[in-house]
Amino acid sequence: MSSAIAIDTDLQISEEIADFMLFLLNENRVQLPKLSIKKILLTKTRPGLSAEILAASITSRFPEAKIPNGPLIGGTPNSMEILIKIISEEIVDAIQNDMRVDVVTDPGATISASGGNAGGPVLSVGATVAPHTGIGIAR
Amino acid sequence: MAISVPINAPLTDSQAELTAKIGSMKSLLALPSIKKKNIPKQNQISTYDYLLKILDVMGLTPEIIFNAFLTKVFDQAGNFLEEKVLDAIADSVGQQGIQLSPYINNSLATKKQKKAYKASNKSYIKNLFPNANFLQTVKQKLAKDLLVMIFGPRQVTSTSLNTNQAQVNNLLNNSVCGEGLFSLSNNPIVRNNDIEYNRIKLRQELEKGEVIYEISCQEVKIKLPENPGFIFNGGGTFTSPSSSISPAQSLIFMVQYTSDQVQRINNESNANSGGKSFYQILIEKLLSFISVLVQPYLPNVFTTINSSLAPSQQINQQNFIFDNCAIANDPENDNKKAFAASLFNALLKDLLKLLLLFAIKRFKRLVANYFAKTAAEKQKRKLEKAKLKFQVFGALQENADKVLKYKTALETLATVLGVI
Repeated sequence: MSSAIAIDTDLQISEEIADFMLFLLNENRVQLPKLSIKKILLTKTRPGLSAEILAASITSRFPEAKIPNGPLIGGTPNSMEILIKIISEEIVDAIQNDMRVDVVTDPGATISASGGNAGGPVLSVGATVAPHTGIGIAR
Repeated sequence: MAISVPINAPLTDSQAELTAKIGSMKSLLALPSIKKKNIPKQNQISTYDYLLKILDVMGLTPEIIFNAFLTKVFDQAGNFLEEKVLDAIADSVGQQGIQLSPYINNSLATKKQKKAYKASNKSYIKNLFPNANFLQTVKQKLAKDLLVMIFGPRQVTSTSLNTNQAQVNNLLNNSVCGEGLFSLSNNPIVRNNDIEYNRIKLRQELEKGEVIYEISCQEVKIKLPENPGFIFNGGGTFTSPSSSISPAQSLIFMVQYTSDQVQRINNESNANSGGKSFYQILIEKLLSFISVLVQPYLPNVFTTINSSLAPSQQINQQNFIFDNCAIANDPENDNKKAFAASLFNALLKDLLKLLLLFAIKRFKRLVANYFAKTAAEKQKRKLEKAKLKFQVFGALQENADKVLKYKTALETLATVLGVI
């Protein structure tokens, strides 16, 4: 038998509360700033992903999660470190070999062309009117 | 017997990879598939329980909100409770298909019509009581009677919180009948015989004045002090003897007193949780018993309402307001439940509002702090990495050749290795 006097259905909003708080969480996250063209061009100097560097970075932060670094007592290999290395290798491998990068450029890119005819050289300036696609490789 | 030599047949990389992958695929197939749980509203966790859970995971206690709620309900200068009582009367009249003005008596009213009658009745009754304060002088008595309903005992003495034996009998009977009638949690499924057992146990405890509550998974026997009147007379640790004390303060002191009792039985940590748990018990009991507590003060309200109605249209309190025992004996009758259900839900709504606003305020602060801290840490880590790189390579250009980079990096160790 349930309670004879029930809670009003209008007061049953536990799901709505959860949705609202998740919304607050989403709204308050830090938005990534748009990168300038210069900064994007500078990414050419990045060394690219390395599974070893990634694994080392993660394992170096093990103490933050109270996980020991290095071999365990008695010289047992640290399975967590090995697992992190395997995960890093597989993720980096998947990004570098399986990931696909599709690029689209906004219309409005300035174009200029030059040529000539009997009257002399002709210079024309305009803009792309349709978006264009491109491809890329994640490294 | 011939010797059987085990065959050592190692797998190649691709053979091992395939068998491992098949194995993992089989394991993944064994995982339960993700199902979106579509739980009906009435089976979900109640809003009250969920808000308490959210506050708990944020490391907050709802005590401050319970204090504010008690202060609001028992405010001797305000009319919050009176307004809720008037609305509950309007609801109970509307539930029976009656609209007071213009008068309609429709015993076959639909749910929609009843809703309209209730809204009309609320507005009509509100106009009859522009400054509703008919409970103003009895709020302290309401608080005392609430404690009688929670703790008993049946035997009245000169120092009892209520010295009228007939009233105490009525309060305790309603307290027992109220067991299982209300819950702030959704649909607790309790068998009828369990409810009957609980009622018999509760009756025995109330008769003796020693009520047992389960606090922190331990059964704790709580008893009112020998002379409980001091709680309402400015006694206790938080008040000076000469100052006047509000009913809400008395109830808050009662929570402290209970916490002290638990402390005597248990250790310090349990005492604190005991006090908090008892606060929740007190709030739940208040919502469950409030309709019974206010009933003795309603005849004058009905007289005022009837004074504006034609004799044939007048309403009788006995036909609209029912106590917990009447409801318990006829639990399917919505007309009998209307007043208690309306008052219970109206007070619950206000409590939820306070809890929700508090939870949202603290959650927003937590989220802001969380993102600020994680962003700062991320930035710090980025800077430290960049600094490390800079320390090693100094002004060396990114595209410098590998030998030069190695040499520069090695130079940072020169203090130990010497000049290389």
